[in-house]
Amino acid sequence: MSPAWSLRIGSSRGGRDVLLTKPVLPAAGFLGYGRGYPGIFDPQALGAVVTRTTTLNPRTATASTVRTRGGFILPLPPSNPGLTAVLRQFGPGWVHSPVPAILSVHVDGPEEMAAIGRRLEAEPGLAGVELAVPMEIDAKWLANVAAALAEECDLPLLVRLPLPLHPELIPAAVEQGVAGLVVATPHRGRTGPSGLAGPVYGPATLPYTLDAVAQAADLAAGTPVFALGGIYAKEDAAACARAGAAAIQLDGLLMLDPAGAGRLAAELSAGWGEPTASA
Amino acid sequence: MRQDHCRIVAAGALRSGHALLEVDCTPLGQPARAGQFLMLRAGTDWTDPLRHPAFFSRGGQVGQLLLPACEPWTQGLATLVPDEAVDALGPLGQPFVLRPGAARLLVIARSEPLAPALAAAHWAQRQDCAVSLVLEQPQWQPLTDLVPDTVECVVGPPEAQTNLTESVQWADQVLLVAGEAHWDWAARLVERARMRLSPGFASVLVPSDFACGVGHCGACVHRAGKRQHTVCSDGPIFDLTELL
Repeated sequence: MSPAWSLRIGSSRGGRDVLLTKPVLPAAGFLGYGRGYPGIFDPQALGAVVTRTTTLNPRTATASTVRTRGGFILPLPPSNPGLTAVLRQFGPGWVHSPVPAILSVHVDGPEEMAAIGRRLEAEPGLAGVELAVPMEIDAKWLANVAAALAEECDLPLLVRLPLPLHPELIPAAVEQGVAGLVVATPHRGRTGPSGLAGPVYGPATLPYTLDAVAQAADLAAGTPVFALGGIYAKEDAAACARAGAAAIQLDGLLMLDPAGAGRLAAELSAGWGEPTASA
Repeated sequence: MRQDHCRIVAAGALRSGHALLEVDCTPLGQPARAGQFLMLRAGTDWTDPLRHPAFFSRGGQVGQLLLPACEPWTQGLATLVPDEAVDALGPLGQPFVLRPGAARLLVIARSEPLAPALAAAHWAQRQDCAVSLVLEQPQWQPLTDLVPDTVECVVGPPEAQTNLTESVQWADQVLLVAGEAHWDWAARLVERARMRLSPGFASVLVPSDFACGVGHCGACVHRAGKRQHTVCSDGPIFDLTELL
């Protein structure tokens, strides 16, 4: 029998840390703000709840989801009621949550991140922050944003990188002492010349995830890597573990088959990274 | 809310361009109500990696789902035969409610999904409420066979009906199934008929495609003024005054 899986994540520069006792987390936007699927999916099967990506101010996306052949596009950042409303509505629940709550955030730059950090420092139920890194930013932007959060609060920071992976972002994040790298927000796609653009989710994204996880793990200098993208089965998670992932985030499976996602989370908690018959 | 395999009791196609499924909702633990929906998995593999919303046209333990047959995903479901099963998540959404004392309901359906309009007519009629149902498109005529004989049905564009204002005056409550382009029209209609639009009088089913169906993803958020409504979980039926 495998020893119980656990992973303590925190900044290499000090501050708070959080103990994850399960290797499966939801990807931002796939389990809301942590209420889960009552009666179907027990959030206690998860190592933490990563919330829907939230902005400082309310945001309503101009388009909703778009279904593509074999996948779907969700806008990033998604519609959300803004930080103040989120903390008011969901913050009290996080205090009593059986699993740690990690707030996913999208910011325009260091100033917004500092403003969010000031609000989160006083938020007792929150265990961490995940930064949804936009496309087309550079290492300096990432370093400045991570530093801005660290200046205002000592919550551990996960950095969710987009595909295509820009390897220079990884040392920049590691240098800032981030608690983990989430690899990755899937490749951006578009439904037409003026159609909705956003990450394209679906089972077909797994090979891109595996490639990016392997690259990130090589550069992460021991910082835990969380695999995200196209993980729908135990063998997918095992492949991520072999590529260097310390844990995984589930995306589309949570919407397609929440009961199945719960079973997968339970199986992986019992045997993370174990080879499968087909491996 | 539960996720389970629900047995198909009956299946068929309608001349209105819809597929009709009667589904045993017993595994879901609670009977479906008007305005509610299921999130259905259209296949057994991952080639269609999102569920699809399917609204009830009649609630109950054996619920009736009415699906627009032109959608690619409904074609597979339309081929299901009795005793096959469909993977369903639900029932979801807030049910339609009659306000206290309402004895006359006017339902106006101008766009898909039409199922909630029929379900509301069914349910209100069972509450001893008189119901008048307006279906905009002539090709929707066959749907009138799905509601009880006691429901007064009118088929044709609402603007062409000379007595629509009188119908609004007659009604204690109105349910509109229509997109945003018709909300102002509905508000003006009510104001013409009743001087003002009061909260609780007119409800709107907001058409939207749902990705998760439970309020997690934010894909169906509708903004009205400073307020955001998550259509799938806060609605899909809202008071018209909240939307304008």
